[in-house]
Order: sequence, then C-alpha cells, then structure tokens
Amino acid sequence: MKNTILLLFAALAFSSCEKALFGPDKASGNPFDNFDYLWGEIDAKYSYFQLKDIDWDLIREEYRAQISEDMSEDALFEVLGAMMNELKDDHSNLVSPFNISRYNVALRNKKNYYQRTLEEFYLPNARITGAFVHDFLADGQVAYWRYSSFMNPVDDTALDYLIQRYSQTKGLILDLRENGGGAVVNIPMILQRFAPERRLAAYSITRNGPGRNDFSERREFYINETKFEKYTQPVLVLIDRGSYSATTFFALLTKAFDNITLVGDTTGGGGGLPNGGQLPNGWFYRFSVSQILDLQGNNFAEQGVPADIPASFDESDLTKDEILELALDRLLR
Amino acid sequence: MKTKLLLLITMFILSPWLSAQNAPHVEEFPITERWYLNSVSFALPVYRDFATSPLFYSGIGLSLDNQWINSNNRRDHRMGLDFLFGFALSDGPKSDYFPAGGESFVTALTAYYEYLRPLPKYRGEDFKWKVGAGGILTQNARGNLNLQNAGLGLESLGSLMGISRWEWDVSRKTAKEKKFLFLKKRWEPQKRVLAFQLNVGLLNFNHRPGYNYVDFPDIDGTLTNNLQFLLDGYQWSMNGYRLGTKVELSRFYRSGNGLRISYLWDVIHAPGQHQSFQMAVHRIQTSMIINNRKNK
Repeated sequence: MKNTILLLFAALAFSSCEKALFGPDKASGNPFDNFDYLWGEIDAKYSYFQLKDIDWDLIREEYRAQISEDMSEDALFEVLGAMMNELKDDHSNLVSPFNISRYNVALRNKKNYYQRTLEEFYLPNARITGAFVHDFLADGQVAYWRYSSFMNPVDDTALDYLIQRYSQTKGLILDLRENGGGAVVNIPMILQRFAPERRLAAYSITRNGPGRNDFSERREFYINETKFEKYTQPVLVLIDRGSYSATTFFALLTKAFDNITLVGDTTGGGGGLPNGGQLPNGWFYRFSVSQILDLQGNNFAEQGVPADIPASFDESDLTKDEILELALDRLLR
Repeated sequence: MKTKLLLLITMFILSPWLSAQNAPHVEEFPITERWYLNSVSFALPVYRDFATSPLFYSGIGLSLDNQWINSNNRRDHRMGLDFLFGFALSDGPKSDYFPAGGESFVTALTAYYEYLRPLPKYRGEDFKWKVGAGGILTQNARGNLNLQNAGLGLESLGSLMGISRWEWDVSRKTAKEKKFLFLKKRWEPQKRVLAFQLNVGLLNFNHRPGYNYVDFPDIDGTLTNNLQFLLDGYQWSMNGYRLGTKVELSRFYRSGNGLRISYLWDVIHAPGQHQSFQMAVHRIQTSMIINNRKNK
C-alpha cells in the first residue's frame, strides 16, 4: 500500500513540471496582446506587401490607436478584421466564434455569372458526372463543362467519361466563373487532360525570412502529360472576379498552353497559399505566405489573371449569357 | 536556468560511470530473463506549437505500448513501440462574450531502445543502480482543422538518451494476515520491485516546418503526392531537450509473470530553426509482464 502511495505521490509531484520548463502561458484576452501578435505574424510572414504597396508600419499606427484595454471583444474583432482587409486579399481572414472577416473581391466587382440563365436557357437537361455539370451546346458541336469548386474532388474515371462523350466536338468550354478555389491537387488533374506534353507552367516562391522581401528560390510547377484520355480540340475557359485562389492558379497555368484561351473578366486573385494560425485569445486567422508567378515572372495570380478575350455579362438581359455566347462564337468560327 | 538544471541532471546521471571505473568486479553467472510487457495507459497530453499558436493544447488520450526486455545481472536490453492517440483543446483565456478555442487530435508513434548496466559499487541486497544509454524516436501527427493549410503537424523528434535507473526490492518476504470483523485476508510472500528511471536527452534532433508552416513546393503535376506537399520546407535541427521519468511498481506471481503499475512523464522541447514545439505527456500505465525465459 505504501508503495502505491509513493507512486501516486511521484505522479502528483511531476504533474505540472513541464509548465516550469516551457515558460509562461501566453494565453491572453488583452486587446493589445492580440493586436500586437496578429500584426507581428503578418509582418513576419505575409507575402504581398511590396506587390500591393502596403505600408504595414503605417497601418499598425492607424489601427493600434483604435485599441484600448477595456474594449469589447466585438469591437476588437472589428479593428483586427479591418486591419486584415487592408491586405485586399480574400485569403486574409480573421475567424472568431461570432464572425469571419473577409475582403470580398467578388462583391467589389461586377457579377458575370448567373446560374439560372445557364440552367434555363442553355442547359435544361445537363448531366452531372462527379464534380462536373455538362452537356452539348450548338447542336452537339461544342462541349460545355461546369466545375463550380476546386473543393470538389476530381476523379480520372469521370474525366475519361467526359472526354469520350465529347470527343467529336469542335471545342470545349470549361466554365470556372465564381469557382472560389479549393485543393491545388485538382488543378493538374484537369489541366493535364488538355496538355499536349509535359510543360513547365509557373513558378512559386514562399516567404522565408523576417525581411518583407525575403523569399525562397523559385519552385517549378509542371503540368505532366497524362496516360489517360486527352481532349485535343481548343479549350475556352470562362473566368470572372469570382474565380479565386486555385481557380486563379488554374487560369495562370493555362497561359503556358496555346490551345487554351481565357474568356471573360480578370480573375479575383488569391495567388498566395494561405497559412493558418491562432491568436492568444483563441481566435484563428489566415493570410498568404507565398506567390505564384507565370513563366515571365509576372505576378498576375494575386492581382488577377486577365482574360485573353475580355467579355462581360449584360445584366439587363438575363436570358442570354454574353460570355458563353462569345466563347461559342469563337469555337464555331 | 533551464540549461543549468538540465546540465545538473545530466551530470547526476553520468557521475556513477566515472566512479564505477574502479569498482570491484562482481562475477556472477548471467541468467538471462526475457520479458514481454503489454501495456495500456491513460494519458494526459499537453503541447504548444508556436509556429501556429501561442496557446497550450491539453487533453486526454490512451496509449498502447509493447516492450521487450532481455535482462541479466550484467546488462539490460529494453526496446519497445508505443502508440498514443488523444484529443486536446486549446487553453485560451476565459471569455464572457463568446468563448473561443480550437480542438485537435494528437497521435504519436514512438520507438525506443535502452541499454543499461548495473553499477556493482552501488549494489545492495535490496537495491540496484543501473545506468546506460538509449535512443528514442517519436513521430507525431496532429490535426487541427481550424488552422486550415497549417492544420497538420508532423514533427519527428529523436534523442540519444543518458539513462539512470534505480531499483528497490520491496518484496513481501513473509506471509501477512489481517482480520477485519469477520473478514480475514492473507497475503502470501510476493516478489515486488519499485523502480525509478530518469532519461535525459543528450543529443536531441527534430524535424520541424521551415520559416512558414506551409511552403509552396515544387509541383510535378499529379506526381507530387500529398506527403511531399505537406513536408516541403521541413528542416532538421539539433537542439532542445527531452526528459523522461518513470516510477514503476511491479508484482510477480508464482508463474513468473506479473503486473506493473507505472507513472510516466515525457517532456520535449524542440526549438527547430524558427519556432518552438513543446510537448509533455503524463501517463498512468498498467502492464502485463510475461516471462519468456526459455529455461524457466
């Protein structure tokens, strides 16, 4: 019995020892602690200060002046969220249990995609296969594929089916308007179906030091030739300001392929890979820590990849999708 | 202060090596015992990863451990595999508005090997002091969906350890009998061993994320797998510390097999090259001790 007591005593003796070794608990609800932590993390790791000409020190002065010891959590959220929106980036979000801050690139620009117009006037009997909604257009001469989110997993069997079904068409319209992004792994899965051969398509760099322009060496982004079915006719990709993050990556990568053309509005951006973190008060945040560059070193991916053929939806007539019509016209010429 | 403390502990472990050089040689015929221990623990993991959060995450878990011991009066070989899985919550400040926090799962696979030799100079009838060295490698996999792209932590933590182990024979040498009202209980003689073990990392390695938790890697089309994507930017470092302690009480039965109850504490500080990772696990462990001596 006394040995068991000795064992329990030893257990209790060590139960809090690590706190002494690890140093002080940094948890804090103090508004200044949380402001300084968030500002410091962004300062140390954000990747687009120079490209967007952001004076982060000036922003600190402006927003820290709005912080007080006795401010409410709601008020603190408003200040921190507004500070993050100065990055003009939908990959910069503050996440609390009661709200999520967001910049809303798409809402700040013209809308160019109306799902009802497509469904009612162009695709009343569209098929749904895996992540794609698809059908023939122009009396079977053109294929239309709608991929609404890169969050939806792409699988090779579905792509094989789609390519076989539309193999006799003159061209393909891949609609990525208002596709807000998702998993990068889905990008090469789709794009390699249109790639005639393995090709270097972009570069990426990641912030790797405290200097605001400290970046890693350029990393290569290849699109490989696939062993699966390929679509060999011209491909027109529809984009708009709602085409964000992974969709912007996709649009940037198409620039390396002559058989793919972008139609519509400039993409929304979101070229940086967002890194997540947590504040001393338990709220979460994310912001971009990398850049993606085209083969000429242009940084379109953050400011938005411009369309090769600009087009705009006319909201006064919801029976017609002008961007889709323009794409059809190009393919049927 | 921490460095001094660790240095003192290390010196304490190593000191018997120095004094044992001239100790009288005890010649005994080595009877080799082979033990197999199958253990289950209730665990309390605590960790803090400064690369993603300044908050401690603490929770509960279970661990399963298999250990093989090959022991005689000249040396012990001990090796084992341990798998811990648990769930942890962030220890944030109290909020009277809208409480915030995160939750994560924690798994850790640990492989270890220990080599111990008794110190004859410090050997008594009921006491043994053993010292030695060992290696330990832990692979963590932690998940926290709230951290999005930084949501998976895959630390590799390795150490070469100095080990000191003290064993006391606390056997019940004569039968005992107690009576309470009409209840009578008799305890037969039983071999029992109480042990305390201290492991100190002398060389500590860690494989941690680079400057940013996520790093955009080279992407070779669909050939780039998810693990390449996750581990890109990770860097090896040799720094930090690791400490482990155990208090064990073992009881043996006539069959030669036994049962053990232990308290274990493992603490790791891995600064990496940029931001520190800290982790401690407390465990209350019960073990079945199976005697596999061939000539028993």
